[in-house]
Amino acid sequence: MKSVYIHQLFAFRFRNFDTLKIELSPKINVFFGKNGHGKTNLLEAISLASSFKAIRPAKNRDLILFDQEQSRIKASIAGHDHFNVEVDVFLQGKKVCISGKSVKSASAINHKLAVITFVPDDLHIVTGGASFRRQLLDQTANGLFPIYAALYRRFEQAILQRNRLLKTPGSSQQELEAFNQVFVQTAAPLIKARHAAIRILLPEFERNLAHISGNSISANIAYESIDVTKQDSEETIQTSLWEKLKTLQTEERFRKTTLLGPHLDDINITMGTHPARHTASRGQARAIVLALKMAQMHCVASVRELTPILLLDDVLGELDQNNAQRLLETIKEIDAQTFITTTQLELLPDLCRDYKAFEIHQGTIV
Amino acid sequence: MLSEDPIKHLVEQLAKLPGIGERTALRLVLHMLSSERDSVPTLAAALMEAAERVHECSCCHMLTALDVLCSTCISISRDRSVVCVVATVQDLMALEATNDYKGLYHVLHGTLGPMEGIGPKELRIASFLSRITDSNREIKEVIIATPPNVEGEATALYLAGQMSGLKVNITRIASGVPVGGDLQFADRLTLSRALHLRQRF
Ligand SMILES: Nc1ncnc2c1ncn2[C@@H]1O[C@H](COP(=O)(O)OP(=O)(O)OP(=O)(O)O)[C@@H](O)[C@H]1O
Ligand SMILES: [Mg+2]
Ligand SMILES: [Zn+2]
Repeated sequence: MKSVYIHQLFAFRFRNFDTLKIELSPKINVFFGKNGHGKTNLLEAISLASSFKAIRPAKNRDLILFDQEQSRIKASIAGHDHFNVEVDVFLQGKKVCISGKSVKSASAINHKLAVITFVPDDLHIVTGGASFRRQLLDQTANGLFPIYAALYRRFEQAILQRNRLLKTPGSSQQELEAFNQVFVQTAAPLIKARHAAIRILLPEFERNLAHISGNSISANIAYESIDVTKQDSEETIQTSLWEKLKTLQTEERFRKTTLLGPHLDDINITMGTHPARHTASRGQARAIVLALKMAQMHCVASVRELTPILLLDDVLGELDQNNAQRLLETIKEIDAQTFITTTQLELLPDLCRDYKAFEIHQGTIV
Repeated sequence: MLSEDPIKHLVEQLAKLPGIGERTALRLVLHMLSSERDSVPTLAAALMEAAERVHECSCCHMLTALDVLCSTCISISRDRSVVCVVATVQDLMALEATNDYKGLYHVLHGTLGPMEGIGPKELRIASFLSRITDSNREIKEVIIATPPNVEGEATALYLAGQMSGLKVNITRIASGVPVGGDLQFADRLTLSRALHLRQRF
């Protein structure tokens, strides 16, 4: 098992932090303090440095300290691998470097680190809209297959161009065909990767759900995309996409937008024959979410043979005492570097005693 | 026409160039007006001369100062049965610099990009297609060397579609492996993509 962790973090004009430099524990780190003082912001800086992704969707402007034009985050990584990460956020874009070398996609960092976040929004995975479940799907795929981020970027570009073409008056069918092909070529590997991700996640999910619920809940997860089976090759997926695209041709021209593809896919979570979204109780939904998150942690660790870095925003407070204990057991089991935010240290479960604590007060560490 | 503030005017003109922001433009202007003052007339003249004499080759659309055709198109030592399609003048120059390729070229001056407002009509595609048809089968192979990004790929596919009725071999340069820089991160999936694409055309 390879284990890497963030040893030092430096943030400059990031959100409400003017300058911050901290040494982190390779085990559990707790950021505590009153509401609105910067705990989630700090977690976000760590997320950017370790996955090039903000923990919640954010505009560049919002990542930069008010009235400034640039912010910078630096992290030094230690353990079985040693390197530095630098993220510069400008109003117009981000620039990321690994050990001084500029890189284009998050795949570069995903090859070296795996990050799993658990944030209050995740509690909507079962009951909320499809975007919450796609996020789970993408995070799992990113953790399992480092190339996924680069494939995703390419797909996003293809869909942006295709959507614009559908909106361009007088564009020819031949030109659309060309962009259709690029769309199909970029969508197919994503669909294949997501299928693979769910296939890997499923047994771990079932095991964890049984453990959490004392065998009282059982649920199933299935990737919902175009009609392909898990075993299908990229070529078969391409063919299915082509066929579906043909049937949607007129409607897409009329609606002027792409009507199928990974950006619209979902995970079907069912309990028995019923969709959990409509039938799960609040407690059951939470158990399912927790099982999914724990499964992600286990899968990434075992498939990549790499200990993931875990970012938990406020969730320990959201879970009941038993579930919080289970989550902590998982963390201890995979021995992951973990970042936890909480308003009150006393609220942390008993198991969580051995940690490094940082008090956050108005954008500084006390 | 005299501008009110010549420095500001010049900075504005320079800042329109790709890769040059206001700050760089100002630095260049101040440098030219202080230490490089003597070479300003030469620079201005060179700029004027280039603008007056350089034009697109009427066959391949490479930039040239020769009368009608560029040096590649009039050369007797080039292989006239192969045409390599590139997106930009720089791409042509990069291929020329390898000294490997002895055929002819066609410069599209861009790639398809609906978001940038670039459709087939904005590129030198029509002239390329008539060039193939008019060649009376002298052109046997077309190598499509547009960049491996989404736009370059769509352009390649579009061209291939347009040529489907013509008796000409279409090949696509191997792509998928990010050239330079990120090469170390190229893995199996990307490489398989490269192979896959090679079969396609
Ligand atoms: N770009 C920015 N520049 C300066 N301050 C900012 C910026 N973006 C957010 N903030 C401030 O950061 C604070 C929010 O910080 P954060 O979300 O980290 O709080 P928190 O400690 O996680 O609180 P809670 O316990 O409620 O979750 C707000 O007061 C907000 O005004
Ligand atoms: Mg918070
Ligand atoms: Zn020429």
